[in-house]
Amino acid sequence: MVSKGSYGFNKGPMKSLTACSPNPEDAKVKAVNFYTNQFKMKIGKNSPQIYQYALILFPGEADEIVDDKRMNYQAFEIEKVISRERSRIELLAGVFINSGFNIWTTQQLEESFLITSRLMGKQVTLKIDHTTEFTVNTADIDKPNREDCISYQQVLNVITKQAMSETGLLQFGQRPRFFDSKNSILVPELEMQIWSGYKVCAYKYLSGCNLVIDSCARFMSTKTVLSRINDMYEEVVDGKFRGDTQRGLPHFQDAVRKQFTGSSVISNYGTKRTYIVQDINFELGPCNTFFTIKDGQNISVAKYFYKTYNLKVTDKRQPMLVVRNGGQTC
Amino acid sequence: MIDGIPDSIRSNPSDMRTLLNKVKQTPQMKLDSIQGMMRNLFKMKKWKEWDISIESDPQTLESRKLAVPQLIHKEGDDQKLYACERLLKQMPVFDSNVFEKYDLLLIYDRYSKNEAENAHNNLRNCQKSI
Repeated sequence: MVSKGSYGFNKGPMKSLTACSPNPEDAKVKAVNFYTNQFKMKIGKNSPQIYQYALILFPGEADEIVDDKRMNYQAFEIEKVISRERSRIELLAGVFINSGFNIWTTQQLEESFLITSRLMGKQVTLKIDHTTEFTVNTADIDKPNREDCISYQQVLNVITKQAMSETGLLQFGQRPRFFDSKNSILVPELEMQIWSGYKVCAYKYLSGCNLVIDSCARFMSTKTVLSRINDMYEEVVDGKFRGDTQRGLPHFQDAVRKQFTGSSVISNYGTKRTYIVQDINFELGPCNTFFTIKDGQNISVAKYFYKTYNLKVTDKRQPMLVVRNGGQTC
Repeated sequence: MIDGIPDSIRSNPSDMRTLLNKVKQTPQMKLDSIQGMMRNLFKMKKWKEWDISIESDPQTLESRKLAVPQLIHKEGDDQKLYACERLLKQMPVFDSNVFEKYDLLLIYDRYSKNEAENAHNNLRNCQKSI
C-alpha cells in the first residue's frame, strides 16, 4: 500500500534533544489514505443469468455412451474438446465459459447435449449434463450471505482468467499468474532471465466483489537443459574421469538425474508450458522416441518438432526428459 | 529452460541481491505498473460479454497516523518537544535497567541473518559501553 501523504519529519540527523521538532502539529493524530491493490467490480443490470452444468467426456460415438463406461478423462482433455467445438457449443448454449469439469452458460438447457468430437485421433462424446443444473443469480450479487456466493466468485475468476489471457500474457500452471514472456529482463552475468507478471483473482467480500491484483516475477535460467547436461558431461567424464567413458558415464548419468529429477522446466517453444521432470532416459533419443498424434499417426519426437514448431533437433543423441502430462508419463 | 533460481545463485547473497534488484519496485512504481495493467485489462471484450465493469481507481483505506512521542525534560524545561522514533533510537542511553538477570533469545530466519547479527553486535556494544 502507498501512503498518499508524505511521512517522516526531522529529516536531518539529530545530535541532541534540541534537534527534535518543536512543532505541536506533530503531536496530533493525522488522517491518511492508503491505496490498496484492489479494484471494485460492478455487475451490470444486463448481466445474464448464469447456469452451471457438469461436463462429462465419454469414449466413442454419441449412441454408444453408457454412464458406467465413462473413462477418467482429465480436465485438459475436456478443454481440448471444448476448444475444438467452441462454435457448436455457442450455437447450442449461447455465450459460455468453462473451467475444469464445469460449464457456465447464458441459456438454460432443456435437455442434455451430446457433442461428438475427436481427441488424440480417437472418437469421443462430450455430454453437457442438464440434470446437474445450478443457477447463479446475478441480480443481487452485492447481497451478503448468498448461498451461491462461492459459485459466483468461481464464475468471476474464470472470466478474469480468460480476460487476462486475452491481454497476451502467459498463464503458468493452474494458478492465476500471468507473465510477459516477450519482454524478459536479462541478467547475462548470472545466465538468468526474469519474466515480470501479475497475479489476479476476483474476491467476494460482504460489501461486494473486488479484483485483487499484484505484481510478481518468475526467474529462470537462460541455459537450456541440454547445454547444462553437456556441461556436466565435460565436468564429470572429461574432467573427473579424464575421458574414461566406461567409468565416467554411470557417474555422469547419476549426477544428471540428481540435478534434474523433481525440478521444473519450461519449454521454449509453443505455449511455454511447465513440466516437472520425473526421470531422464539416456537409452532413447528424439529420433527413436515415438508417440501418437491427433490424427492417429505414429511420429518421432524429432519429426514432430520439425512439423509443428519448425525446430530442428541439434543433437540427435540427447537424452529424453520423462515428464507427466495430464496424468500420463511421457 | 530450467525454471527457478539455481542453488548456486540462491546460496550466494551477492548474486541473489543482483537478481532481486532487477525486479525491485518502489511502492509508487508498483502502483503505476498495476494501474497500467488494469487499463489494459479493462479493454478486454470478456467484461462486456458478461456485463461486468471495474472501477479504474483502486480502493482506498482510511487510516490514522499516530502522534509522535513527546519528550519530557528531566530538568523541567517548559518547552514541548516531539521526536521522531527513528531519531530517538539514535540517542545515547542515560539510564538503563539491569539486564543481567534476563536471558535474551534472538530468533531469526535465514534471510534475516545480517539483521540478526547487527542486532547482536549492537547489544554487545551497549553492554561494553555500560
